[in-house]
Amino acid sequence: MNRPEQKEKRLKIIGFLCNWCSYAGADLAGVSRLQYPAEIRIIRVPCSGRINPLLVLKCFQEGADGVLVSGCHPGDCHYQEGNLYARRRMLLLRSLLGYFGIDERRFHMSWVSASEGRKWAEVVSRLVADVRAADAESRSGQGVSAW
Amino acid sequence: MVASGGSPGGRGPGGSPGAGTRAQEALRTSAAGLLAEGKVEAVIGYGLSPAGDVVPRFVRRSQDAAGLLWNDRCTYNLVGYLTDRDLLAGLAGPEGAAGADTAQSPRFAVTVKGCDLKSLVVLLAESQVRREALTVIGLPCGGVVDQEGRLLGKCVACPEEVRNLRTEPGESPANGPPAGEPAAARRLVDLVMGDPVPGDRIAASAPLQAEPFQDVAEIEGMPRAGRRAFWDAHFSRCLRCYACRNVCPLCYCKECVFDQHNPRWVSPAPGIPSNRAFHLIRAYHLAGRCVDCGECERACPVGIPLRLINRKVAQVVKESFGFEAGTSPEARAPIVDFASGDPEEFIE
Amino acid sequence: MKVLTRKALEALLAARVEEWELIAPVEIDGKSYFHALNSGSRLGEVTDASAAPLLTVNPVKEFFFPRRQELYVQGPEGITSLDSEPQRPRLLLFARPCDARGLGVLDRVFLGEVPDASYAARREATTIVGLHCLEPDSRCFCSAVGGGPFGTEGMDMALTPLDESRFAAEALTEKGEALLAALGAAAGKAGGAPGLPDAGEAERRLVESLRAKAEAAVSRDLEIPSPEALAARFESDYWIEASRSCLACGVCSYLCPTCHCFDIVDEGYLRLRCWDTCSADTFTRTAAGENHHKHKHTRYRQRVFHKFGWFKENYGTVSCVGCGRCTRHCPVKIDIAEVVNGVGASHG
Repeated sequence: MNRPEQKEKRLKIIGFLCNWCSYAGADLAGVSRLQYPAEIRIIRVPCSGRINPLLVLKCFQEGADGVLVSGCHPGDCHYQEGNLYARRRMLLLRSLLGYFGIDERRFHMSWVSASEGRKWAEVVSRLVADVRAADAESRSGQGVSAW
Repeated sequence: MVASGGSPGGRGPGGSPGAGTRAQEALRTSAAGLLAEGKVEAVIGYGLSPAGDVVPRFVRRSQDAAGLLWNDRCTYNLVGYLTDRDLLAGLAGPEGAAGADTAQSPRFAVTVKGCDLKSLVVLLAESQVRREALTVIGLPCGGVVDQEGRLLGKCVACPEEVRNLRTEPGESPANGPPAGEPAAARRLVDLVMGDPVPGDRIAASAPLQAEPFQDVAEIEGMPRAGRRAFWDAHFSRCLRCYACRNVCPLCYCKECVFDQHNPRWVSPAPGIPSNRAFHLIRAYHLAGRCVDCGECERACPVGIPLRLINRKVAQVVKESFGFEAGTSPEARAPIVDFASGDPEEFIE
Repeated sequence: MKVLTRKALEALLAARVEEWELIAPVEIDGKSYFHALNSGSRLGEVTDASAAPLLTVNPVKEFFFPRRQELYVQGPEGITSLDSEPQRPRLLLFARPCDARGLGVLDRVFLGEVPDASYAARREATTIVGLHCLEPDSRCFCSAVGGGPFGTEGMDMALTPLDESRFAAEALTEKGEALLAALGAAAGKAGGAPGLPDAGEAERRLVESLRAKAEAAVSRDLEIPSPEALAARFESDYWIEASRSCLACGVCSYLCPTCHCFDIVDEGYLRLRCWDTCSADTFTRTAAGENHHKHKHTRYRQRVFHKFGWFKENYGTVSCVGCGRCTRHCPVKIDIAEVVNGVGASHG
């Protein structure tokens, strides 16, 4: 019997999580035994404001299928305003990615607080779904790679 | 073919030889005077090479000021030379180079068109040049041309107040600042060569865009795959010669990210992915800083429409952060700033 | 000397479009480049010699010495060599005499004592059809460096346009003879008599007069300094003056038919070779950070000394074919001929 579905490609998704909110939120999701896709590989940083857009682009160049930046909600940043800088920077980055025809669905940003374990699981699920959709579209198109 | 743009040595600003000659004469006289009086070590301006090309010229002796040029072929943005310490030290000579922070520090004059002046404003905002060490010579301009004598794309949309160097509200370059205004140190332009230039030539050229960022919108309007193909085709020709970066007055980092090996952010070898990263990152680093002087696009040997990238960034910066580069030496760059109402629809 | 019609040339190219890789000047966004054609759709355009540009932006070196050449990948099983595909036969159409001669200069480096296998394979597989220049412009100085508008060095076959539909064709090598025979066969299939007709008296005289006119048009002279003259100027401030406006980008090196410096870059486990330029400030930067060419003027001096001094001493020819691309595309129009001519005249 033919198995119609192929083995799904193992996605490489990098998540930059701020230590104080998002990383704690992800940790809460784990402790609460909430299921979320295992494709995400987490890098803990002190603050979303520490994320140099160059890091995101380095991920894409090295073959990442998707990248996530997650930080504290505005007003809750452990360093007062780091996430407010991140907000501007990632907006600009996302616009440029789209302008060059890179699928913006591959780059997500979220505010996840330390108590939002459930939200974390949802954020990752949405990201993985978006990346798979982007992959499917590019495969059916001219076979272009993510980057 | 060495193009003459219609007449040997180019036409005056606004296209008429007469006005050009007057402004050019004023320039030569002013420059000769500044040098003779020892007010500046060198005048950075335009000259004519033996082969008939307009070239950057660094005049150190008063008698050489007669070789300075001002016409519609003077496309270069000379402001970039002001961040080249080696160059300036070489121009200053052994006596001038001593005591960079003293009254004896080297002083230079530089000729600027309106677009060039905006890039100088950014350099001032970023403390890369000392205003007191500069004599800024303004050149009212009616547009500059390419090798075939066609008006450059950036000139078509140039507002009157930029081309005629009206640097303060209500100020006319010929009349000086309004009464009661602070003294010269706050002024952006010290000397203005010639009268304001009419915009007939610009008006007669290709029609203005209906919307300010229409060229960018056209790219945005393409489907994603089309945009990807459009840019990939251009990036496939990119040689990574860095002419765009090196000609840019605002790319002055002593160690550029693209020259860093540890960490290495982008492969130095050309290839569509690495070229795309290079152009994206460079444009990103110019966010809120690029003033659309257009030199990058002019310098590119393989015709990549670089202004379309920088203008996209300018559009985002304007529409999302309400900021425009090159308007004020006190401006705070948008990428090192934030506002409580910053857009966050894209954030979950 | 034979007479070749455009029709016969087109017919042969169309017939061989699957078998051969065709490289010819094509127009992209208003500029002309040597480009590999992957279909026959533009054959009519490319065989129109009257529309061929005097000079393309890019030289032909990239088809033998690629801008980006993937060498090997290191994997768990060891090293997997790349770039070892057997080379398809190729036809390089309408190389100008300077382009073809440039390959001869590169041959001295890449086919020397330690031949570069991939370069050799590409050279072997390529038949070079040159196109004589009827209208050199004021920037050309091929004649001053051992070439000429009707030169044939480096060509397998030389074509001289006689009119819009015919060329005088001369086979210069075995490959050229083989091509001539194939063209003759194609002419036969296209409806004419098989074999190409010999050039008659009228055609020969026309070629001679075109040659005389073209050679007279190359008026730029270059006084190549002797090794002693160069050595005497090594420490001179002349180099500071000559390179003052230089942006230290890579346009001159990358567009030069004879420049061949390269870098080895690792992208992950992929090792590749890519072009490099002595103009760049990182050119001699070592891993420890030491850089003995951190000043622009010593790098510019090195460029001139290499091309007009040391290369000549080592290989018997200057590393310059007088195409003028470096000046044509330099963002600030630095003229290497002017710089070289000034060496003799410079003092101290």
